[in-house]
Amino acid sequence: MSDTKINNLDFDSIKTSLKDYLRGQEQFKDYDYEGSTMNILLDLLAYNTHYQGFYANMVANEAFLDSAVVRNSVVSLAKHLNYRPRSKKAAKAIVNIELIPITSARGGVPASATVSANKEFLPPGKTFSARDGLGRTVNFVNLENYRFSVVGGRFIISNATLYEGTLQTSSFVVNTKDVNQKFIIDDTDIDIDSLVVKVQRSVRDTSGIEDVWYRALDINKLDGNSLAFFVQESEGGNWEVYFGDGIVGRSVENGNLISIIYLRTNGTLGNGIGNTDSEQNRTFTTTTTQTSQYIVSVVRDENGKPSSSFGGADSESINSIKYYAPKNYQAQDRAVTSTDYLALLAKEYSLRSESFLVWGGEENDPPQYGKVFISIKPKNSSKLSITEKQSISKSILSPLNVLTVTPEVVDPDVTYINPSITIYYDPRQTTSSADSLSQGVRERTILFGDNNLDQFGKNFRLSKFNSYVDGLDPSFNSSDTTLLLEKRIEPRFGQALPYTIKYDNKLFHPVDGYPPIVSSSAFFHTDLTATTLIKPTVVAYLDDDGYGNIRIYKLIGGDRVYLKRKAGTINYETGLLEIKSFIPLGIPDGTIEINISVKPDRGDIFVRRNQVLVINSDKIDITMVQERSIIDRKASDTGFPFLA
Amino acid sequence: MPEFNENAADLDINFARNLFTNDVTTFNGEAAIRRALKNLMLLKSNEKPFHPEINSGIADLLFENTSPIIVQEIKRRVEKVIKLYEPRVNKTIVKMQYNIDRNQVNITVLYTIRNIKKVFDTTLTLQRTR
Repeated sequence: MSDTKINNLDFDSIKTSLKDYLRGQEQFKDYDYEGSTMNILLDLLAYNTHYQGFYANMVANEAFLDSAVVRNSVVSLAKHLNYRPRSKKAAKAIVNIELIPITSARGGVPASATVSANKEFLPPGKTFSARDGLGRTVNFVNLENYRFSVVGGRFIISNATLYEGTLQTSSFVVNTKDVNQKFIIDDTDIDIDSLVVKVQRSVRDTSGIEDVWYRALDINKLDGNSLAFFVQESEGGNWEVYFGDGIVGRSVENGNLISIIYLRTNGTLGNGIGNTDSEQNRTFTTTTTQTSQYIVSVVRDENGKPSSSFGGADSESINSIKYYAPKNYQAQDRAVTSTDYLALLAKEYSLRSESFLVWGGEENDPPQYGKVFISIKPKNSSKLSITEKQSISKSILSPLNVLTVTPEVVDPDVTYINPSITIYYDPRQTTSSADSLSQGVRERTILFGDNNLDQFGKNFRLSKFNSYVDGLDPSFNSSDTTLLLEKRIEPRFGQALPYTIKYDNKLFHPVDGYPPIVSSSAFFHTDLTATTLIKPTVVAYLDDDGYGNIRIYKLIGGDRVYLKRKAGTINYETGLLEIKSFIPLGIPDGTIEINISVKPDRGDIFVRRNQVLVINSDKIDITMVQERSIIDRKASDTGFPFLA
Repeated sequence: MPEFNENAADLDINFARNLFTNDVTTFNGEAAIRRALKNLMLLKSNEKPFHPEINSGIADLLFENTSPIIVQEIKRRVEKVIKLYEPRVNKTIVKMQYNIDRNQVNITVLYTIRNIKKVFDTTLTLQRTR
């Protein structure tokens, strides 16, 4: 009798092993023939063994974080690492709310008579409606009790936080006879930061309802009387609330009525609402009461732009849990090393961010000791809003980092690449028109940026880009790409300030006196060449003189008339552009940015620190040139390419 | 090439009790091959785990109307499955007999077994069960 082989669990190997085993006996010989009953029995045995082996393998897979695929297993394993997967997060909008007392319709008595200073409140749970960019109605709600302050005779709440979502309630009656009772909220769209738990003695006896229960984050601070509750993700992505055992956290008793108030949110769908808010067209509205109506205006940033809602996120994916749970364990809820910062940020922002970068102040240029810099490149935009940056450093990092180190969130230093692409193609090799090919090249260019750039530490390689574009259509013989690097500044209009722009790449400068490689978008500037007492404002631009000076000029009939010949300097070797005492007065198209472009020395563009390269989809210049195949070249032909 | 072995033994697929030994009934030699042929003809697709290709495919023709073409197709399938999966048998002749009024097809397989100079036959009847 041969030895039993157990080194393989696939069906055919098991069956072969069984046959090998049977070869050692004399009674049954027909196991080798597919039609025999013995063979059918072997099929059955092999199938059963394979099934059990596969099942055991899958069970083993689910027992380890690296190989688990079922969400419940991953969540359970992450629990061992003290990691609670992130729930959905409601987007936050920061608004000012003004209460306008309205006149009573009946008696003509001003309702303001009933509105007295510092006694008017906005209780939690008031719903505010808003419309997103697609015209859908999105509800926001305040979770805190706000008091109106009287400012100049007006009733105002400043910087109130509204959360996207609707408030829901879930209730349970405690039954201690049911040892398996669980308080699972049957909802996967909960923002668990919003949970409010109330426990009253019984359905009829409301005593205890005023007690404030809080979510336990550190069991070292709990005793048998702590009104703490715990939260964990349960089966199917629902959330379970559970209570202490009377030693660590107060326990609930038989007959207690537990009411859980929570925010059901749409996560990321709540982001970006409010940036169109204006006095004529308010984004947020709410219902009027008998005595009051409310005007809700979005808080504006230092540039006067309305800040849009932010911070909304979907619940954490399985891959994210598997990736961040061990890192979070390493960080131990403390931000000390740069990877700790990354783990903490990723926990909150991984869904909405393209990439993160953290560096110490001593490595900064110039060094700033006692600081740690964090740069986040959000998805679908170039930078975070000011409120969002403040929220990261105050709420997420400050409570966890070393006391003497100040976290500072800085914007990614975005450099836009404006490519000019010339495609030489043979029209006889394709059925597509030049326009559709050109459109294809444009889409490919943007896709190249999405896949290869847009993140910290990603360099642009021209040859890779060209070969990617060439691969679009077999009719493409070759392509030629030149680049411009564009930076955008948001100047303070009317103020003389210096501006420093770092391209951090060598710029094109074959000889001194070479024609300008710097260009800019239009801006308003005082006409310094005017001889009148009050100098008029003209549309102006920037360029360089080929000797390292930045100049400001205006156009008269296509000729450049220089308003200032030494407005700043440019270092062609380091790519550092400095403008001194620059006083732009506005932008002709009403925007707030001036774009300044330069021509780099090489096709490969390198990034450093928090620089991010982005393909500027608005400035992709494509030229399609038809040419015949090279074998058609005749001695009489001069020049190249030959037009088809 | 597998040779016929007089001592070859197989189990009865019905696992019937042998009244004398009180053990499962077994078939030896030529009887075992006959049972194997029958098993092969009745194998449905996907019936063998991980080997869906091992089947006669006759069951797939269950709701076909009886016609000379379908009868020919059954014959082709029976010949094919025996040729592919019963190497102990050679020189196979399949005879078909169908009775439209009774919704019945008789399949008779005439075959020789390797190294035995004798023709054996087995018949399978396909008919409605109720």
